[in-house]
Order: sequence, then structure tokens, then C-alpha cells
Amino acid sequence: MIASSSFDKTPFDKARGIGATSGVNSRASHALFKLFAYETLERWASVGALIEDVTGASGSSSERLPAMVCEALRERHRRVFGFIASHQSELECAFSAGKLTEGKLVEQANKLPEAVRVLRQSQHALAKIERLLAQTGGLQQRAELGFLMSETRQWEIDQPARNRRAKANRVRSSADKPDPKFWTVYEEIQQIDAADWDHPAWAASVAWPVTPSRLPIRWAQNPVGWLLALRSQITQLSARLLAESAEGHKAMQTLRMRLPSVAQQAYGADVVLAALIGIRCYGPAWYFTRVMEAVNQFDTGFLQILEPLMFHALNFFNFSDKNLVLMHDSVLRGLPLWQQLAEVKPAACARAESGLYAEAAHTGPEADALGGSFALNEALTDALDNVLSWAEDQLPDAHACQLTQGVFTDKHLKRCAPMEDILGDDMLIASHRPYSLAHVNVLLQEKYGDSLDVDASGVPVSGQAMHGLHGAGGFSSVLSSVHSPGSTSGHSGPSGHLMSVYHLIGMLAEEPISCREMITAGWLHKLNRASVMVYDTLLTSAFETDNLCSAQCPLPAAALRFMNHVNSRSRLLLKSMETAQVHQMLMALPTQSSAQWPSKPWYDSEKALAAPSVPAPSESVSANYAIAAAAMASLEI
Amino acid sequence: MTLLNETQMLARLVDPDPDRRLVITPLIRPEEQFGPTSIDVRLGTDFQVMRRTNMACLDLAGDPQKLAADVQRASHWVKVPPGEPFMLHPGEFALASTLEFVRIPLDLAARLEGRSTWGRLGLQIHATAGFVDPGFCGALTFELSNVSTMPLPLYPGVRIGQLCFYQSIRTNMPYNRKRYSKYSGKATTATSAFFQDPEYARIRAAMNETPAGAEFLQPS
Repeated sequence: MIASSSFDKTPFDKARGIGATSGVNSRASHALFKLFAYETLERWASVGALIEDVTGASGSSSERLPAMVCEALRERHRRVFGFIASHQSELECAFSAGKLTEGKLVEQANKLPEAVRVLRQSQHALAKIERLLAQTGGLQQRAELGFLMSETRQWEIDQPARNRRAKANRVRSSADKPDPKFWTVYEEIQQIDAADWDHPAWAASVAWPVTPSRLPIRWAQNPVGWLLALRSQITQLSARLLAESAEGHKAMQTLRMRLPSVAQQAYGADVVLAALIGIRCYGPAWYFTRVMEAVNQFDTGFLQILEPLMFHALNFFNFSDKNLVLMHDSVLRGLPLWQQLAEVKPAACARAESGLYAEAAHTGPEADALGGSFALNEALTDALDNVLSWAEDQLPDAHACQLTQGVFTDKHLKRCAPMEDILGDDMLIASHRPYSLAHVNVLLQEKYGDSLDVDASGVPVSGQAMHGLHGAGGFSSVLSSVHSPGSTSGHSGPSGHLMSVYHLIGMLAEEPISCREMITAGWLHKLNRASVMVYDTLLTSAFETDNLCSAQCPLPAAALRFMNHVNSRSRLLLKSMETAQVHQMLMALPTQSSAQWPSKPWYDSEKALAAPSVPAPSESVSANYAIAAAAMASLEI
Repeated sequence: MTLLNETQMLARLVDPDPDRRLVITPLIRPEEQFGPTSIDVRLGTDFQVMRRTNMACLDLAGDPQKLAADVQRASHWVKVPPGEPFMLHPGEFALASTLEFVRIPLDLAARLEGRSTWGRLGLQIHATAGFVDPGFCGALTFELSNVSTMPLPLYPGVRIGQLCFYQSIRTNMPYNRKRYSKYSGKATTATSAFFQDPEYARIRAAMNETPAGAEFLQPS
């Protein structure tokens, strides 16, 4: 386990006051497990929504898959969920809700590996469905397949009475068959089975690191994890910064010397720097994304080595949020369990992991070799601070104009917390107001008093206004006030201020929010609600396998609720990003060309990520900003 | 029913009580958007047009899930980036949505109307459904049609409609909690969900039953 002595000096730990008891470790393990479970279920929900979208039940896609492929996809998806549902009792034990003694918590922690195994297997199956979706009708390929689909549909219409399986076989052998792509895919879908989780072919197709062409299509609809697509740009930027700065080179050399040798072998200096530069450019969202990716992949090497460095970088840049502390604490205390789970490889998963968790497999042994020796001691902290100061100099706030929106600062994070609440209310988070509503309300009340409220009959409800209309002064006094010279819009306030109503209306003008902040708000929302949603989904009484076979309700109610929640949040985030783009354009602020518009990455991430060109190392330092700007362009506005 | 004026709308937008607060976001340039009794709303980025298909009709007697799939199949979604136009050709009909996200409090109702600027060019923004119930939450859907003889380029972000608000007695049945409400909470253009109307279920049931007195009509 990682020694936490150096963390005790941080303000987070002083505020935290959590001891390293076994109960706390169990609780942290549970926290890590909940995040893992939430991630799995969210992925399941996203894929479910994508299937519904592609197959035409409720979505918005313009092209549809052939009915037989749709049905096969749905069936397999239901089967995956049925697999989770059939292991409900194991999950329930691991998820024992609240009011637990520490002894019970430790007892429950022993059952976590079994629950993790269940979720892990379902993840494998979902990854396979994702790959099939990407082949058949994912958003990226949809436009290309449009013509093919219409042909296939016509072919289906011509032969409505035939058996689907027989049709597939016949078409394969006939001369006038449509493109064999569908039938190959259909056969693959048919071959997925619960016992087939570890098929190496599909596992290899989702190997990391993520390249644009391999980007899982669920990220096209769920932007919260989409930052990972920018990893290659961040790596480029850090390599460029390092190559062009002697000072940085020196700082990195020092850091390299201070890092334990095992950590150096596991992660080179460029990987460490890229993680830190990512924090500088994207803030806590980068931390959340990378940590959740590592949790999802059982990448204990990352959790053990890079996560403490990234958390230190968050401290360095003054990012403070309770979710950051909770996540770091969960990783810190839950790491032993996660190491244990990474070592336990069920036979069904072993072969799959060779492809899917290639990175984790690579770093696993080194991480194990670290044991409890890795710690952020004073010398290492100093070296890290030097590197971070250098990164701060290289990417300063003053160059914000070159970086489109500048680096991510603590001010951005402070704006994200209320946005998370707004997102929780199912509201758009595309913009924010420079003036608070309360402030405008005070000015409004000061100027127009109680004459604002009217009841349903149109009569002012305030006593003062009623008196104004019906009193001795009566109508003439109202008329005189209406025509008073100080009143621009036909009203005069009791305070006699000369503020026009246009001033007050103008104070409601909103400013667009950057995509980075929206994604961060999405992460905060996700972390705050993960436990509740997971409990609700896994422990509700409506979660019964019997419902799976029902034609009217193909998925359990709790699962549908979870799916609706995840999908509504994703849709709101995407709509917020699009709205912010239009907002930015109308504010006459620098905006992207249509090729860089965020809708393109959702549908065609390859183009968007291929857009920035890498200049030669001999070019000026400003080229670094060009890379950073290009990297952010797909997220920034 | 009283039409709110600009200060009353302003007061509702900044009302400290969340239940009474009117939400319209984003208000990009409110000075331009506010009128004496209305607030202009902008065109969003999502459009939906009906494509020509080989379907004879949307058969109400059919299976609702199949109807839903048919409606989706007959719809073509277009996403228009900012700065690029959506061309609405003469005689064409398209669904679109407001850029703004709207939440109407429980004691207000709203009407969506076109702007005369666009009306003079032949653009109609709704065919028949301009009323917004108290409690509605989401993006409003435009039913765009071009009745002129010239194609109309429609850019996301332009002000093509206006909302006016009516004070009403606070409802106990807000739209977002109403039974059978179909369009609340949608953040984008919403397709017709006519097949979810309960009367179609009754019609389908009636069509499947033997009509009363049919036995007397049988030839002896």
C-alpha cells in the first residue's frame, strides 16, 4: 500500500482527518467498487441507448439496420443484463446499503471480488457489442452504410415471410446477396454467448491506447469520458514542450532521478509529464477521466504511480473539491483490493485481458514490484513542484488567447460546482450569468416595487398598488408616475433611480461556458450520484430477471430508470455544447470552423483529431500553443 | 389570463422562488430579445425532415412499437453547425427546436408565435401547436414550413419566434407531471408521438372487436 505520509501535509488531508484503519480501507474499497459498478452500468446504459438509436426504437439516427440484426443486438444486450441480474445476490452482498458496522463492512469487502468478476464479464460482453455496433451502424459508419442499409431493407421487404436465419444462410449462398458485411456481423452476433466472454478477437479490437479509429462509439453519445480522445494531443504537446525547453528538460531529469526505478520503468518521463500537462489544460476532468479509465481496466500501475502525481498536481494548481479528495482517498485505500483483483484472473477473463488490458498487463508486474515503497517524499515533491512550475510557465494564463480559452484554472472549477446542481435539475448548462439573479432582483424590486405581481385577473396584488389605483389620488397619480421624465419604459421606481429597464434586462445576458467546464460538471454530477444510482439500480425490488423476457418491458424498471438518467444527462451535455457553440458565434467571439465543430468529433473523431498538424521541432515555441489550441479546439469554443 | 409585460417577465426570470421562476437559457442578447410583451427565441441546430418512403401510411391500427419505428424510419435528422444554413425549400416542412431551454412555472402559460420579419418572407414556425402548458420543461419544437416561392436559408441562432406569457391560476397538473405528456424534458427536436395517445389504443381495440349488432347483418 502507498505510504500516505506526504499527503498528510496537504490541506486536503488536514481537512479530511481519516485514519488508515481497516474499516476505512473497506469503505474506500467499496467506494472504488461503486465507481467501477457505476461505470459498468453507465456503459451498459450507453450501449443500450445506442442500440435503441441504431435499431430505431427511440433514437434519432437517420439510417436503420436490418430488422434481424437489430433483434440480434437487442437480444444480446438483454442477455448481458440478464447475466448481471442473475448474479444479483452477489452484488447485493457487496453493495449492502448503509448502516453497517465496520466489521460487517470488512466482511462485505471479502465478497467484492465475486461482484467485480460479474461486472467485469458483463463489461467484456458489452465491449463486444460495441464493436459490433461500430461495424454495423455506429454513428461513425452510419453515413457510409446508408445506401447499403436501404438496399438491405428493400431486400427484406421483398422477402417478408422467410425465416431470418434461413434467409441469412440463403443470402450468403445466393448471387444477388447484399453486401456480406451485414451477414458476417449477424453471424458474429449470433455467436456471442455467455460462455464466450473471452474471445480474443474482439478483445484485441478494443486494446489501448485509444486511437481515434478505435474510439468506442459510446463516447460519441456520452461526452463525459470523451477527454480520453485527446490523449494523443496531450502527449504531443508535452513532448514538444520538453524538447524545446532546457529548463524543463533539467526539471524532468531531476524528477526522473527522484522517481523510484520501478516507476521509471513502468512510466517514462513523457507519460508522467503528459499526465501533468493534462491537468494543466483540462483540470480535474482529466484526473477523473484517467483514474476511472484505470479503475475500469484494473491498471494498478497507474493508480499506484501516476494517480498520486496527478493528485499532487491538482493541489499545486489549487483545485479543491470534495470529489477529488474522495476519489483520491478511495484509490489510496482501495488499492490493495484492486491489486488483489487484478491478480485474480478468472479463466474466462484471462485471455480477454491479454488484449483488453494490455496496458495494465504491461505495468502490472512493475506495479507489484513497487509494493508499498512508492511514496511522495519531500525530495520527490520538490522535483514534482519544479516540473509543475515549469509547466505553468510554459502554459501561462497570459497566453490564454493563443490557447483559445487558456488553461483550466481553479476559477473554472468553482463555476462547475453550481453547474453540477443545474445538471441535476435536468437543465441546460450552456451558459452562466455574470450578474446573480438575486442582484438583478434587488435592483428590480427597488425600481419597480410591488407593482410587478399580478394575479390571474390581471389586477396588481400588492396593497400599495391597489391603493394607488383605488385610493384618493387614484388614477391620476398613476398616470403622472407613468409619464415622469425619469421613466424610460413607462415606469418609475420608488427610489427614483434613472436606471432604464434595458439596463436590468441587459444584466441577464449570459456568457457561454467552455466544453471543458461542462465535462467537468458532468464528472462532478456523475461522482455525486454514482452511489445512489447504483444502489437504486442493483438493489431495487423491480430488478428481477423475470421482466427480461417480457415483450412489453424488455428491461427491468430500475434499469430503464438508470438508462434514462444517464441518457438524459448525456443528451443535455451534448445539447449544452452545441448551444454554447452557437452562443459563442453570436457573441462574435472566436469560434471554430465547421470542421472542428464538436458535432464532428462525435460522428467523425478521426477527422477532428487528425486536424492538428505537428510542426517540426525546430519551429518556435508558439508551435506548442498551436498544438495545445488544436487539442483543445475539439473541446473548446 | 393576463399577458405579461417586459418588467413582469423580467421579474419572473429573476424570481428568488424556484417554483415561480421562469427559465429561458441561454439569453444571449436579452436587450435584443425582449419585446414589450414577448421574448424572442432562436433557432437551434437540430432539424428533422420527413423523407419519401415506400410506406403507404402510418397505420394507426398497427403495433405502437412498429409505428414508432416507422416514424423514425421516415424521419431524417439534420444537424447544422453554427454559421451554416439549413435550406428550407418552398412547400417544405421541417421540425426544428429552439436553441433555448425553457421551463415554464406552474402559474404561467406561454404561446409561441412567429416574428413578422420572417412571416413576411413566408416562414411559418408552427402549424397549429403554439401553446405551451404550465410546467413544460425542455426545448420547444418549431414546425417550420416555407410558404413562399424562394428557398429560405435558416441559420442556427437566428431569432425566428417569440414567446409571450400569460398569468394563470397555479395548476395542479403541470405538464411535466401530467399523465400522457410526451414531450416534456426533451432537449432537442421531438418527433410526433401520436401513437402514444391512449385513444389509438381504444381505436385499435374497437377495430379488433366485432361491431355490436353485426350478427343481425349476417345473411341468413
